[in-house]
Amino acid sequence: MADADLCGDIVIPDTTGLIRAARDRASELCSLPADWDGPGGSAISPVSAANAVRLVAGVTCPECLPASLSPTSVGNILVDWTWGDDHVEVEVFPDGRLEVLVRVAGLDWEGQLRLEDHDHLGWLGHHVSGVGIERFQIPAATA
Amino acid sequence: MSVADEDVFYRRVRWAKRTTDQRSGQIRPSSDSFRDSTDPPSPMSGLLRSVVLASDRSIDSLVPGDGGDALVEFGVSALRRHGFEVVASPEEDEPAHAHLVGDKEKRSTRRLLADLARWTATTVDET
Repeated sequence: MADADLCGDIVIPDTTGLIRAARDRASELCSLPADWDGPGGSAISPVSAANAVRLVAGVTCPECLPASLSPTSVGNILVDWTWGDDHVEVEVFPDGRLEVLVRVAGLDWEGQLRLEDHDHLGWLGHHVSGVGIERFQIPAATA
Repeated sequence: MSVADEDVFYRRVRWAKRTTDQRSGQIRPSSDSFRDSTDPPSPMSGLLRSVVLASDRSIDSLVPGDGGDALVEFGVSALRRHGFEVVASPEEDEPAHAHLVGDKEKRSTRRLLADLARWTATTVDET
């Protein structure tokens, strides 16, 4: 087989596609009725939805998994990257607060970060790109 | 009324609150599905399998067919192994009602419950 044919098998994920998918899902969740979680529930905050898309845009990389977006009872958006036991989940608040849970490569961490803090986003992006890193590991050769 | 280790605790969750495990492709309930009630404050509610069956109802009947809900289940013994307690709390219109008692303030605790949960029944809608 010619080298050019092998190159045709290389798939580079479209980062903008991952962000577009997050934006579409956020928009869908934003249109949920106020009682989506039962009587007296909270409508999804458009600011939280916009912040969730900003978060995905800020931490997504070509090798990253797609983010799952879901609504929370208090009207925020929960952004989640899960690969088996590896996961990063972030509840995004309208004021830019991020409540974060990270379980990747031996790290278990839970705490608060800020959307507008570039160092925080850099740290988070590092761990988001580590979710499912086993996809890129080459199996050891057997004897 | 004591709850046996062999019993099953069911929890209704909103189908919109779901996430996908990208390794297996499986859809899972999000951690936000497992909060205590706030208005009024009370431990997370659920239903006991033994009482549902004793009242001649099917498990499928626990999920309204409006397309917005799904049902997940936990083994009572598994919940107890992780430090929770299941307490029967029958109500006038729901004799199988029960509470899952235990701190769920930490995100990691709610995530643990999401990982332990197994789907029982779903009624899928578009969101």
